[in-house]
Amino acid sequence: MSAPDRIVIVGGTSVIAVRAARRWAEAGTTRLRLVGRDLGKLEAVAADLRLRAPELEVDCAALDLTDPVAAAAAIADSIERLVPDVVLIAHGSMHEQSEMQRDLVLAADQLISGGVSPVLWLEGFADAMHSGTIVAIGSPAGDRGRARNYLYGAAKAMLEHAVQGLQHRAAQSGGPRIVLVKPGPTRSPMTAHLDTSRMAEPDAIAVGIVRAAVTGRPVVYVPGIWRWIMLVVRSLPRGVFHRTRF
Amino acid sequence: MTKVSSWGLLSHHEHELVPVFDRQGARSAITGQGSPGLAVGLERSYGDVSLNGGGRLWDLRGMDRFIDFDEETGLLRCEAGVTIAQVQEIFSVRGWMMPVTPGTRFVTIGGAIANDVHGKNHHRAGSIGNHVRAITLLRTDGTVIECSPALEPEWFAATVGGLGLTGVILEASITLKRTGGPWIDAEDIPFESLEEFFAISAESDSTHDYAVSWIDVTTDGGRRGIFTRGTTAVDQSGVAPRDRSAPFPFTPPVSLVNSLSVPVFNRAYFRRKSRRARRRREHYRPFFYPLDAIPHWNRMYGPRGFHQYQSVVPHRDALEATREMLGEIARSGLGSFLGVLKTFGDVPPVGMLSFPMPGVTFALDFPERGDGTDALFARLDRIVADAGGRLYAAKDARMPRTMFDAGYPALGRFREHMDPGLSSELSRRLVEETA
Repeated sequence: MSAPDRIVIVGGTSVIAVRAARRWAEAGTTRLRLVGRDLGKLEAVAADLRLRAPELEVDCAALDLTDPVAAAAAIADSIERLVPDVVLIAHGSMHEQSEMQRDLVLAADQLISGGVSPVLWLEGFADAMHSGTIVAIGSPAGDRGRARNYLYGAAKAMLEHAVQGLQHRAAQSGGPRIVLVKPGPTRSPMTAHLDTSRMAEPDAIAVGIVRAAVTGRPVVYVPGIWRWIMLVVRSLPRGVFHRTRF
Repeated sequence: MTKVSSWGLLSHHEHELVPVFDRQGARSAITGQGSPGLAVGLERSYGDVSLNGGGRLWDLRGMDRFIDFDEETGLLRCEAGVTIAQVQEIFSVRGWMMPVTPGTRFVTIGGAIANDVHGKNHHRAGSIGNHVRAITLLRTDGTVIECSPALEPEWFAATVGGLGLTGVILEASITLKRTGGPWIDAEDIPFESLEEFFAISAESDSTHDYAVSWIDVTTDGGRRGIFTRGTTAVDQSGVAPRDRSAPFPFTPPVSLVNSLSVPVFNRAYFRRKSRRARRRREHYRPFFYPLDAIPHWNRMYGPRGFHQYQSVVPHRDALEATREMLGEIARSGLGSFLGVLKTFGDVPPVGMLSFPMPGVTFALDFPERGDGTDALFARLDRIVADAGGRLYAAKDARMPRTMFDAGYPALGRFREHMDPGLSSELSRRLVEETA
């Protein structure tokens, strides 16, 4: 599988994004831009990637990812300077559901950083690109609202809706391919407060992302078993679903 | 809470597992906690040095970034969760490799330093601590200590081989070895007696970078074996073989390593190795890490798990002590697939609790069999102690305190550097002072 030549990653310090970036770098990507919030952390990721792939040219852009004006400028600059083949939109957050129920500021942050912001980046890149692939990271949690994590799920469902709309639009009038990768629970800083022992490794998700960027399959669950689990979860009649606790 | 086992699969205690991904995360997870914890990586230690049953483990596998590399000097700076596998894979094709590697590449840099691991080149290069240039250590009170052989040398000496008990290693700088590529000129030499092993070993120390031998402990009280030696190849061209592996699929209900299977296996292995081409150019993966091709090979010892008994005894009595140990093993009827003999060199280790010393190291795997195993180990302990030797903490789950005290004379000095916020099952068993 040949690597895409030029890549932009939004949420460049996300563990999953870093693992995907390493795979792309080692497979021969020549130009990479990391977009994120914290320049220090982005530079640490960039230094690691340069050591792994000395031929790779990496730069970093730090900004408030939730600011639509800053996002629009960063997207325009990335398109002009890189002409990316692949854009990975990987930023997000996961707050504790019970805390968000008590604290609407936290709930708003969840919806904005996990839903509104990724949708705006997706929209911006989709409008500016004529070809190539955009990979966004969704979640099985977006498939059906559950008591345990419905605000996180609502943000991911919002992203999925936007992806569906853009896929519909691309089918009619062309444009970049849009791919939604939905990782199951993964060992990462976002889930560090949970029991991570049975979660997927970030590397496994990265493999799924790299592959999805090539095949362009519209919706990819990683690991694949989640497609079937969520098929069952979505199909459960409400009366039955409400008696479950997962 | 999560069940965690080390490589020997001897226990499956519940732990609170806390993943750590960066320096900030390390600081918030590690400092100011109520009960003591322990930083861990890939759990390739055999015994309880990497366990803290009922307590907390900080999983540092996520701290795996390279920070800097100097193409002129080979100095690599990286986070503690970087694995030796990653270093070898990325740098070997650019002409650099780990200066020292143990027999598995699935170890983190932090774990390798905390156990001051050695490898097939000990006779020339010493252990990994001899190549560590700097360590960044986080104490659980929030203090960060930068130490090196010149800066805070006492902290450096306590931390190299310090079993993770002086603080959490966050980053380290290591000088890689310039090899020009991933290839090694390797050679297998069958031997038929211990004297022959010692002779080949003495000869090879000055001619070869790498040397180790497998010994058949089941035949005639252990005489024959295969001496494997190698040197960095001059011709480094070639296409690396594919990294193929076939995992051991499940844990059998009883150990497959028993008095019936071991002699059969050992005989077949000796014959195969003696017949095959003895000189070859080999990629570093099969040369350094033959067992990594069978992930989960530890399962083959069944649900009770297994011990590795690794000793070192000084040169003076090495031949006699080795012969006596082989005799005890033969008499016990507790066979071992893996009998490994290697001569250590004279490079002094830098750590207060470092295992290597000039002499001969002998490593053996035994399935856990309860009293029979205990009794054999007690007899082996006596031979090792009488010869002025010691046992390797990274492999140990059972040595008595007296054995540890006698083997590690700098223990008192080491204790002054221990972090009260850190503890392991091994430290409670052997290192912490008893009330």
